[in-house]
Amino acid sequence: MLVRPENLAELNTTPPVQVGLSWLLGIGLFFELASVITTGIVQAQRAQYTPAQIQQMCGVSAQGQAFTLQQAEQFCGGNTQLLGAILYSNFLLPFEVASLVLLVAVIAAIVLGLPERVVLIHEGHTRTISLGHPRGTDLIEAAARAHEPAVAAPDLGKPGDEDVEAVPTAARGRTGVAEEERPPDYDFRTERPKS
Amino acid sequence: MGDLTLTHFLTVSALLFVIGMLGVLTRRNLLIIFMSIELMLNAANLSFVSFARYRNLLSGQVIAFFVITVAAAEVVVGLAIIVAIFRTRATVDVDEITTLRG
Repeated sequence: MLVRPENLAELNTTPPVQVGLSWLLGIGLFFELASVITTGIVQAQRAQYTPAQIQQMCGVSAQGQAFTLQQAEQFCGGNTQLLGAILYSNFLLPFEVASLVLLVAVIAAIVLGLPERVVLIHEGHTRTISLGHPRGTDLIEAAARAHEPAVAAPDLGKPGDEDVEAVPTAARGRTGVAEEERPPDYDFRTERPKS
Repeated sequence: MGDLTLTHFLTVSALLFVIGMLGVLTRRNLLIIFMSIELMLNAANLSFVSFARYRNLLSGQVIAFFVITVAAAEVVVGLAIIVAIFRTRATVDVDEITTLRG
């Protein structure tokens, strides 16, 4: 639906200047990063863990002077246990903020994904119809195809058929009938005049 | 063949980041651009974890978790925006979405 090779513009048209420029930029950036990585000297102290820190991290008393991270993980029962302990002690506030971020994202996705709605006041009843769903247009097209047998067999192999069909669907305004074609007693449930 | 050192991990991370950046710059389909952004975020994750491994620290791994969380939130909102754009314009080609062009 969204990704088809024949609809990808970058495979069918001549690439603009930006594509060549971005390839140049990407290759240059990679060689710059690679030179920094291979020639740079990392001067960092490797952390050591004292028994007091291990006691504070996971409540296990260890015998010895200093331990590497792998030994501390063995004392605490594994990497996962140690990560969980740190996530709930030192990183508790970022953890809660991350949960808020996820909540906001979920609400935003639901609001953005809601179909467009209009509320109709029709014969005293309040109805809500969804404009996001092309209700009934497939039935109208199927009926039109059934009346004309020559058109009834669509060639599915030709690319771009959906684009050709999408134009009249959009022109009909997604509910099947354009606004100016609707008679005053237009019934939105059956999508035809009531008379 | 020696052991895997910090340099190897950082090289893979740089390669992933450059591939993602090339995808963002050259592709025109919004979904593929999104996949490329995910590739760049995961390259940063790989850097975090490899530095944490090198320095015997756990903070880098925790930060990688938070990066994954933010990436998930970004994907959720971005995919919803893509769906909304496809609904109104029937395309996900970024060259045809010029409404915000000043």
